[in-house]
Amino acid sequence: MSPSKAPNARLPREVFPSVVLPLFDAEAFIEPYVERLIELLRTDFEFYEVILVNNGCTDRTQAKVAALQTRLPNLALFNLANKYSMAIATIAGLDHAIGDYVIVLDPRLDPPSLVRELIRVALDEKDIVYGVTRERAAAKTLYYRMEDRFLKALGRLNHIRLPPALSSARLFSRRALNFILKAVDRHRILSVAPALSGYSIERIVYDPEPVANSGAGGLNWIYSGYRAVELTLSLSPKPLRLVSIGSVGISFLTVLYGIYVVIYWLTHESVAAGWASLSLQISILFFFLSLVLAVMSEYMQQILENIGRRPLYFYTTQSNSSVMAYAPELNVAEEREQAA
Amino acid sequence: MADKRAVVIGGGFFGCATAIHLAQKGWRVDVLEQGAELMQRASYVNQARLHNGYHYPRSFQTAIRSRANMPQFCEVYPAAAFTEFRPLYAIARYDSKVSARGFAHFCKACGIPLQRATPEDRSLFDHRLIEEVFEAVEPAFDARALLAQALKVMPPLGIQVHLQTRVTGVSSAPTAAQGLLVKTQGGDLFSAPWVFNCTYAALNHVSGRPGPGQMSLQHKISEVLLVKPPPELQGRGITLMDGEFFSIMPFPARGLHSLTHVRHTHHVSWVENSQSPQCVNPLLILEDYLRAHPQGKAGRSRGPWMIRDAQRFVPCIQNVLVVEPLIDVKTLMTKTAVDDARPILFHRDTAMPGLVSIMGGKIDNIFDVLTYLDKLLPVDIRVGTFQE
Repeated sequence: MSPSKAPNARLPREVFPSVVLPLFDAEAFIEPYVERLIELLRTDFEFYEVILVNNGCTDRTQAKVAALQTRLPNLALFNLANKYSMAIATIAGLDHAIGDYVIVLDPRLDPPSLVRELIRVALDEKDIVYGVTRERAAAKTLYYRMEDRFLKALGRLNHIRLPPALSSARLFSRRALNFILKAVDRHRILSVAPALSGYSIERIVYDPEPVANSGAGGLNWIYSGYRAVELTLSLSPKPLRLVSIGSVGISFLTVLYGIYVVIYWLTHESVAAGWASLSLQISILFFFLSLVLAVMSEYMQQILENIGRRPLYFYTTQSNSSVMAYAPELNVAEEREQAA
Repeated sequence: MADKRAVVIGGGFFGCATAIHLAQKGWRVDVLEQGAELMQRASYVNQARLHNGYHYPRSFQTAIRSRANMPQFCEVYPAAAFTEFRPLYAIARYDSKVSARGFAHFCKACGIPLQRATPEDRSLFDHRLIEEVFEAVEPAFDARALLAQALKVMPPLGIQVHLQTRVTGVSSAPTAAQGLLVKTQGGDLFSAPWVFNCTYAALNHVSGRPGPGQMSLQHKISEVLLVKPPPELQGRGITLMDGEFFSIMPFPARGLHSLTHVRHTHHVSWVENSQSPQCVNPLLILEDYLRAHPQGKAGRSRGPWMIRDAQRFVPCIQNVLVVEPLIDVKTLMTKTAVDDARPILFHRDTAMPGLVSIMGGKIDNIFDVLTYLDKLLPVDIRVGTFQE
């Protein structure tokens, strides 16, 4: 929980935050969102940047952001060449962020005011801060309970302290981010990598402001299941060890079974055609065999991806704000804030 | 006799060199400079790099020309060439437009010396983001020494320098024999058959004609951050290639280092051409831009962005001490904004052919400019003689 500080306590102005916003088809809400965000940032901080990652938008998001860049300062836009996963789009933003604190927000869900809250907590010597929605924090539904269980089990398996919940709103300190970005498969482990670093983790609870019809906040069981497998396998090679121990055991059993069959054949006059048991055994063995293959191929795929060292993403164009003059409100807003 | 009189508008390095060149050939030259001192704008506010070609893996021609001009520059301006440092060229692992192998190959093809940097130099970099580090041979120049040399050479040649003289317009004199008239804000009139416009950013504005300019230019309000380097960077210069990266290298005129970053150095950019709806003098736009911030130039500085961005690649950059941002207008020909080439702009006004505009993107372009000038002038002087 966030430490009890006066809610209006001023943050040190020299702190440099970077805010990363991965975007997909955001034309309907991106303008007011960025306006609110910049207003808030320029009130609180002298130096900041907002990195918008256009993850292959098919609508007019790019044009809208380009228009924003002519009137709002410190906006950087990266246009990815293709639609990648949101994790890769986020990594593209993190790779180019320069701030002391780097914050990832999902503009479909997370209110801009979260920036202030996240940084306030981080300034209390925290390197990683997760924003968790109130609903998620309560964890009343089956889905959230399963997620909690899964994270706990994953943490035990790897002897690490995992964040209590995964969410879109996150803050990383520069050193925590440097640690995460070192991994080749940083996009896969992004949600749990901070825990591997051993840096301190804090959680804050917030009320999301979901944008209607933006596809935010929905649950996808199949995708979540896939993510769980991916996460388990990419976090440690332990499942592979389990499978190899299992396979050795099974092969030992098959040897025993072979010996048993030979002895049975030698000691019995007539051997009945045991069709049922034979098929049963074959099916069980093939079950394990295919499991082994599944796990191995999953690892193999990851290894291939990693040693291939293909770039995760590619961006076609990049642009920055080009504002002729700041709006004169700049200083007025600052004065007002100080007076409050 | 030919009328060998000329007015040079703009007392930067190119203006002064043009004036000296003409005066050495027996011309009578007036130099009009709006500032309080010569060579204080583009000649001073830049990286102070004497390009040896490394910068242009995407423009072979520019690389070759730089390679040819740099030694000549050092010969003509020996006091200005500064070589007391080791220039390091690093290639970024991601987002670079050239690979380490491609860069080495390019340098070999151009005949510019390049070798792998020493382990000590390499240890300055974060190798997660840096593919390779090379040691290059490339001096910096001292803008102050260039000024000192000009001030020594100009008076004996009879060049009249008029400081704090802002030109308001150039027009044809009533009689063709008088050539052109240059009007200044103070009400003075200069007349000469030849007027050389070496005003860089204000190129389209000396004529004083309303309406769009004849040259298509791109202007960028740009910043060079002067810093005191950390001990690790003393005696070293670092350039990260090739794309939206940075450079930190000695700035000999002040005994400091300059920090520039492609992504953050350019604050605002705009294009000025015949389609531009309204043409405002870029130098006035700059003044407005700086004045609009309560802290002026210091408040406008993108230093915090540059330092934070650059220290990701070279961690010790976080320990630089910021001394002062230099902010001025940088001007390019629009057609070369893409490939990094910096050819020279040579333009003769359509209504007043005696008004010649000259712009060179790099300081060592001066020799190409003067050679071209020699080709241009004799023909027209003959025309002038004929009219007399």
